[in-house]
Amino acid sequence: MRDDTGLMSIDFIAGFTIFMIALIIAITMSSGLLIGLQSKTIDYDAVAYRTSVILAEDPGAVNITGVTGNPITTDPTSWELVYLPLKEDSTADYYKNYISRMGLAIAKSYDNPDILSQQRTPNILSLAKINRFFDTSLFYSYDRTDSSGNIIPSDYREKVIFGDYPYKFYITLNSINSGDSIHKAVGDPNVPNASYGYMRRVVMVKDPAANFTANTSPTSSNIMNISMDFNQIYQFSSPRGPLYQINPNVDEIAFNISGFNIVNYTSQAPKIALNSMNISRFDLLSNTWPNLPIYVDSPTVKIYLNEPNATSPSESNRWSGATGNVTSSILIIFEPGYFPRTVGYTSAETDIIRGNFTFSPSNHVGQPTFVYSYTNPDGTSNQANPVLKPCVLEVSVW
Amino acid sequence: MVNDAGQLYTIEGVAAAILLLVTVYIVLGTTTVFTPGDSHISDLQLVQLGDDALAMMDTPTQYVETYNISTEKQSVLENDIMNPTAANLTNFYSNLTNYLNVKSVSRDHLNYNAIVWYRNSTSNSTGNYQFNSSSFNMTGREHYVRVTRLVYLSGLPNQSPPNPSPTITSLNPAMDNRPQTVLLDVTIWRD
Repeated sequence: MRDDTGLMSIDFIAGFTIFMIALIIAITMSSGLLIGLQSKTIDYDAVAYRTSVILAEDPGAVNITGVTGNPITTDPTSWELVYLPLKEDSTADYYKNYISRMGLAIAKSYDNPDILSQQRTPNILSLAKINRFFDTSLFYSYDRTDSSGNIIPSDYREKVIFGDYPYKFYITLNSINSGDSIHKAVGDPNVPNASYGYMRRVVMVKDPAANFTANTSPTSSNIMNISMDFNQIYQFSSPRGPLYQINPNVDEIAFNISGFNIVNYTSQAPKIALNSMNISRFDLLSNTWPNLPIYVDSPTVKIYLNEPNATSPSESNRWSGATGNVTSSILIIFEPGYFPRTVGYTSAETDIIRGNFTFSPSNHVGQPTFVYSYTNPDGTSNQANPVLKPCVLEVSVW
Repeated sequence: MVNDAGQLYTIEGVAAAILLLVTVYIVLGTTTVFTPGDSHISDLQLVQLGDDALAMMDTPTQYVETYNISTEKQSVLENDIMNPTAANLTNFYSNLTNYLNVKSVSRDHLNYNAIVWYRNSTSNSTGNYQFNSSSFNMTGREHYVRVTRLVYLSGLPNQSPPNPSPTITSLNPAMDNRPQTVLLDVTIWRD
């Protein structure tokens, strides 16, 4: 038998070389094997999509566990009614904790479970929620660092984006028709040119347009009571469905009263003086008219004197509470959430609210009791008719 | 004494190991090709946008107190299909083009072609006609998505749209004269 020991070493070297080459290649590859599985950089689009769905299709959510009384809303979707102080206030976090999700869609009505009010309203957004959402005096749009170096996520990241990763974002809402002039934005406008998630949604913004005008006629009294029947407003508009309904709980309602007999007295400019005013609500049980509080901070009742623009009044025309001169009109605005704050969420729609004005001099002011009617005598609706305004909602996340 | 009996198997083993490693590497690498960090899920975005646009066009912007259940909540979209006059088609074009293209900065470049599917009562089958489209020169290479919406009509459309394809010679003769639901079929692409 031949001795083959020498051959073996050559074969061994060849085999070992192949093995070593394979091993080296494998080791070289191993560092790149898992790099494609890293997920942090690839889910921006998913986050943007999720955020857009929450904003456009969800009415939001209030964490009502343990909530007692005012000023917190008891409606599970009306997060915009949760009382919030300015974001710098030390109690801000306490109140913000009641908001668990900030969606913009019109809330489903839970207190009135007929078929119409249980309709889902995706892509129909509430103006009150929009105004609250884009208010950066209430919410932080950027991550902060506390005194011990911990990062506090922005309110938007916690309540609408929902991500542990410190996402940056830019959310805009713009009206499509230039006449609607809705232009809102929040976040960092410096969106990078690449590597960001983007989602665009076409939505409608419901403008409740609940601006009622009333003309009084002069009588010989220095007191005027205007009765505002919210039950009538609600009952008349509710068969139209949630898209075209005026809900005093969540919609801003304005009354613009004119028709005063303005006099030219004691050689001054034509005017009458508004000395005092209060808002009262009919109490069915006691058959009395107890006064409602008028708060300093929102949501409250705002009174403007001689304001020409009822839809966006100027703060300079706001009545201070001292005697003010009326030369043309009085505008009363009930902010969204005023009734939930004062009398509770479910009762406002059945209320009769009365504004009691005291003027001087007497003999030249409006009717002592003026009842505002939502329906005209001929049966047609009076003025107010909610309008849906087409808008584009854009979400960028990076 | 050591012999060479196992050498071939060792080489086979090494070859098999390389094969396995390469396979695993390729498989793992392949899964990430479809989700690179800087690409948008463009199809989803277009479908969602088109779906939103049609839904919003089918939502009446205001409740009209007509005391007539079918006109109180008539949407712009239904009105345009019911009365495809030149003015209404221009309105449809500007609405849909704006809904698809308006952004906070600049404008997008989305085009569309809209087809209406209906029941042909003569042949008892589905028929279609071109309803409206954006002005475009289609190359045939566009990557498009398709969105649809069922639109309720309160009756027979009052006239056929101008220059439809296929040609309709009279007033949608094969369409039923009754309240019905038609399918608005819109293809959308970015140029």
